[in-house]
Amino acid sequence: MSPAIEIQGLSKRFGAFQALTDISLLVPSGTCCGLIGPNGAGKTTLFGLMCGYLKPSAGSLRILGANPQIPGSLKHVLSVLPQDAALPSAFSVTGFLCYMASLSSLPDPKEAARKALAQVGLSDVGGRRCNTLSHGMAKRIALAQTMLGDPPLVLLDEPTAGLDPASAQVVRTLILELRSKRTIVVSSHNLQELEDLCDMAVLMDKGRIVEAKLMSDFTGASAEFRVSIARGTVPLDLISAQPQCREAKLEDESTLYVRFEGAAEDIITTTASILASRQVQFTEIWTGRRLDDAVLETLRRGRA
Amino acid sequence: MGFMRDIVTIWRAELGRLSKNGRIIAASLLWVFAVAILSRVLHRLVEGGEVAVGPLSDEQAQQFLSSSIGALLEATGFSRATIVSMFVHGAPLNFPFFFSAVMFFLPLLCALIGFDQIAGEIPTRSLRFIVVRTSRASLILGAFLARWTVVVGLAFITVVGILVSLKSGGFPVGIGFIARWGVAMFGTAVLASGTWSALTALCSTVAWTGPTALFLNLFALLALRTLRSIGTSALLNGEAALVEGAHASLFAYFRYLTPSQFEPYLMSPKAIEFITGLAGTVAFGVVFMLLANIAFARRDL
Repeated sequence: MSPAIEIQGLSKRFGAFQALTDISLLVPSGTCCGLIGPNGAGKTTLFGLMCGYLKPSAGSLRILGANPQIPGSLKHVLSVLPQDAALPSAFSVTGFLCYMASLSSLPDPKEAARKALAQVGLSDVGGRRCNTLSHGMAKRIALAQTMLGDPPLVLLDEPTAGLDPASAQVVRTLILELRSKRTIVVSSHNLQELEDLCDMAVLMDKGRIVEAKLMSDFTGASAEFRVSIARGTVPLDLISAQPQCREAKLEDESTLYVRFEGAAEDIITTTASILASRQVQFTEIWTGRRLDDAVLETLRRGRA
Repeated sequence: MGFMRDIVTIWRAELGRLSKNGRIIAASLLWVFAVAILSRVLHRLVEGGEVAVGPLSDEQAQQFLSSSIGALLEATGFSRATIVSMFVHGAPLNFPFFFSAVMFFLPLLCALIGFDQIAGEIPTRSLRFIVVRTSRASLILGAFLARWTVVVGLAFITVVGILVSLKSGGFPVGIGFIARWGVAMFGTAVLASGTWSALTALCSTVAWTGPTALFLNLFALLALRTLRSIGTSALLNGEAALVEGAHASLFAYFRYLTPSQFEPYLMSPKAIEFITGLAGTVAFGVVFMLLANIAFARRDL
C-alpha cells in the first residue's frame, strides 16, 4: 500500500525550544492513524508541519506525494480540523462553508455546504453567525468543513476535546464513516476513543516518536489474551502445550494470561474448550491490554 | 487560472466580512464625515469668492507662484507645472491644499482598515482553515485587494464630495474640469491607496497580533514621513548652498525613499513628471507586496 504520509528526519525548533526531533514516519493510505502523547509531546506541531502551517527546521515530508511547503500543493489533498482554531467571525455558518467549498473548487458550494451541515447534524444553524455558536457547535462546523470535497486525507487535531458526551459521540460516528473512505490522522487524549477508531498508533513524547505500529500490536490484541477465572484449577500445562501458545501464566489468582502467535480466534476457542473440559468456570475473555495501560507502560519504559 | 479564481474568491469573501466589521464601518463613516466637513468648508470658501484666483493665463499663474502663497502651495508636494495647470483651469486656491490633506491622511486610513488582515487572524488561528485550500500568495493578494477596494470606494466618495462642493459653491465645474481634475484626483488616490495598502499588508504579515501590526504600520509611516522631511529640508538647504558653490547633500535623496514623494507627480500635466510619479508609486506598491508575499510565505502560522 502506498504511503499517504512520508516523513524523514523531521525536526522543528522554535527559537531555543526544540519541539520535534528527528521524526520519521510512514502512514499507509487508507489507515486511521492515532497520534498519542502527553501534553507538549509535539502532536500539534507535527500536525502544523503536515498542513504547511509551520516550516520544518530540518528533514522532509510528503503528503500523498505533495510537499506542504510548496504553495497550494495541499489543495484537494487534505482537509484539517485544527486544534483551537476559531471560525472566522463575521461569516454566517453557511457563508463560511460556501467560502471553504469555493476555495476547494467545488462546482456547487451551496449544495456542498448544505450537505456538510446535514452530515454533522446542524442543518438548522446555517444562518447563524460563526461567532455566536457554542464550543460544541463550532467544533462540529469545523469538522463539517473537513468533509467538503472529499479530500483523500483528513487530519483531526483533538476532534472531541471539550465536547459533551452526545456531541463527542456524533463526532466519533462521523470519523467512523470517514474512515471507510479516506486516510485519517487523529490526535486525542481520549485513548479509548483512539483505540476504537484507529488501526495504527503513533506514540510521541518530548518531540520524538516513541513507538509507531498497528493498534493491535500496541495493545497486544493480536498477541495476548486474558481470562477472568471464577472457580477451578487452571491446567497451565495443557494450555501451554498448544502449538500457538508462547507463554501461559496466572497473573494473579483469578487472571489467566496467554501470549500467542497466529490467529487469535483459534487459540481462544481451544483454550476455552480446555477450561470447560476441566470444569474451570470463567466470566470474561479479552484480548490485549487497554491502550492507556500500553501507553503508560511504553512511556515509562522509554523514559527509564 | 486556479490562482486567479482563488484570489477572486478570497477578495469577495473578505469584502463581505469587511462590510460587517464594526471597525471598518466606523472608520469609513469617520472618513466620510471628515470629507463632508472639508467639502462644506470648501463650499463656503468658493461661495464667498475668497479663494478664486483664476482662470489665469500660464504667465499669470507662474507669477502667482512666485508670491509667498506660491511657496506654500509648492510645499504641498505638487510640482510647479501641476499647480500652474490647476490655476490655468481655474481651480480655487484651496483646491491643492485640500487634496494634499486628503493624501496626507490616506495612509492612515489604509492602516486603520487593513492592519489586521493577516496579523489579526494569527492569534485566533482561523487562517488555518484557508491555507490548506489555497496558496498563501492568493490569500494575501485577496485580502489586500479587498482592503484596497474599500479605500478606493472611500476615495471615490472623497473626490465626488470635493467636486460637488465646488459646484454647489458656484464654481464652474464642467465636463472639462471633471475629466482633468476629477479623474486625476481619483486616479492619484487609487494608486496611492494601493501603495499604502500594500505597506499595511506588509506590516500585517510580519506582525503576530493586530495591535502590533498597527503600531508597526504607524511607525513605518512616521519613518517614511521623516525621510521625506529630511530629504526636502536637505534639498532646500542644498539649493541655498549651491548658490554659494557648495555640493548638494546626499540627504536630499532621502525623499525618493518614500512613495509620498512620487504621488503628487501623478497629477502633473507634464508627461515626464506623470511617468515618474506612476513608476515611483507603482514600484513602491509592488515592492511592498513582494516583501509581504515573501514574509508571509516564510512565516509560521
